[in-house]
Amino acid sequence: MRNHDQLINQLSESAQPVRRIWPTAWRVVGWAALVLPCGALSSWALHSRYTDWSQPGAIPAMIALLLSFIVGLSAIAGAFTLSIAGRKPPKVKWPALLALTWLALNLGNMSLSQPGSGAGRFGEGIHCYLFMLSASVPMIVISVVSLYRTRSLRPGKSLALAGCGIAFMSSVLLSLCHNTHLHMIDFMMHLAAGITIIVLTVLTGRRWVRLAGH
Amino acid sequence: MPVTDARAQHWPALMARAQAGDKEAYNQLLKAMVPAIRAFVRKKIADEVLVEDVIQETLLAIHRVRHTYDPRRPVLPWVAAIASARAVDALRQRGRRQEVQDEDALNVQLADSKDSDASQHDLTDCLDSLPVRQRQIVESVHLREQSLAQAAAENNLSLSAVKSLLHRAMLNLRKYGSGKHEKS
Repeated sequence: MRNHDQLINQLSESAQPVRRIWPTAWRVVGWAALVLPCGALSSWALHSRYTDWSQPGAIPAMIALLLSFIVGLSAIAGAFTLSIAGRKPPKVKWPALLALTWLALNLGNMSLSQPGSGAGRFGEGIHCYLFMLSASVPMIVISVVSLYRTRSLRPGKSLALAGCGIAFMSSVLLSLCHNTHLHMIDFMMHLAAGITIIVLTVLTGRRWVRLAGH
Repeated sequence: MPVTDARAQHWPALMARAQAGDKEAYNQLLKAMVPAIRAFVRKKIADEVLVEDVIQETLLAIHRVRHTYDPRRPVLPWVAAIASARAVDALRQRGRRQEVQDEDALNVQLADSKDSDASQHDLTDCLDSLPVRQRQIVESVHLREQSLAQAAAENNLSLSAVKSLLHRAMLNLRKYGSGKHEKS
């Protein structure tokens, strides 16, 4: 058995007062208060109109927006919890159920037909894709910085959960400037944007969030 | 682990003082934690040298994330999670190193058949068996004859981190050398 006293003496000698991290609930509130305005600002150039809530399909769209917000908050809460050593991994049952309800609502509020006018729905879908990505950029930075403060013993899972949270929050912002009724290619592009955001979050943060030994 | 549980009862208070900057409390706490960390690590690793390495890694990790501990919560799950993650990382690293060593051994065999410089290969082989950071420090201090302070500055590390890396590198080299000697 080796004597670790020398290392311990060095560590305790260099120890400065530290500021404890906030409880997860406060961290989530702070995160949401920061990412939503930043996401709105960064996607402002792609913001063309406000949602007309008098359109058909407004009620399912509103419920889907609310679900996006709740699932986004749950996902980031899970990411923050998981990043702290010894905390129990978050239960995914309820958020997963809400996410499935969100998916069902969107599928129910979607038509397979192409719109009759305009430059084709694929173009509109790409606009939505770019909107979600541009909204997510500051959100990714803020989330990685938040997770960098605690580091994580499970960086991949923490970042994937954070990516989910960011994707749903981008979707919240998109819902505020989108038709209430969805078209299939359009919705596929929303899903593709969500997956891209999750992958980008994991790739961007992996190096920073990992708790290295030294 | 009832004995450790009983001893750990006053650790949250010590950690709270340590978080506030009380160096003595922090020193006392880390020293008290070592046997518990050793017990956690031994559940995953049998190799005694590696166990001691992982204890050091765990102490460094605890130091780095000490602000994430909430003194209202039990301390042992927090320590156990860090120790366990460090142990798994060490086993993964050793597995990768083993693969690299096997590949290098093959390369060395091929090189020997071509009458290349054996001692150069031995040195490279030894250094390749080390993790990147340990190798960099050994090269700085022992091959380029830099002082510990110079090596710390060049590698953007604290002096204590350099000493710790060098110490572990020497142990790993000794272990690697004895393993190789037994094989030949």
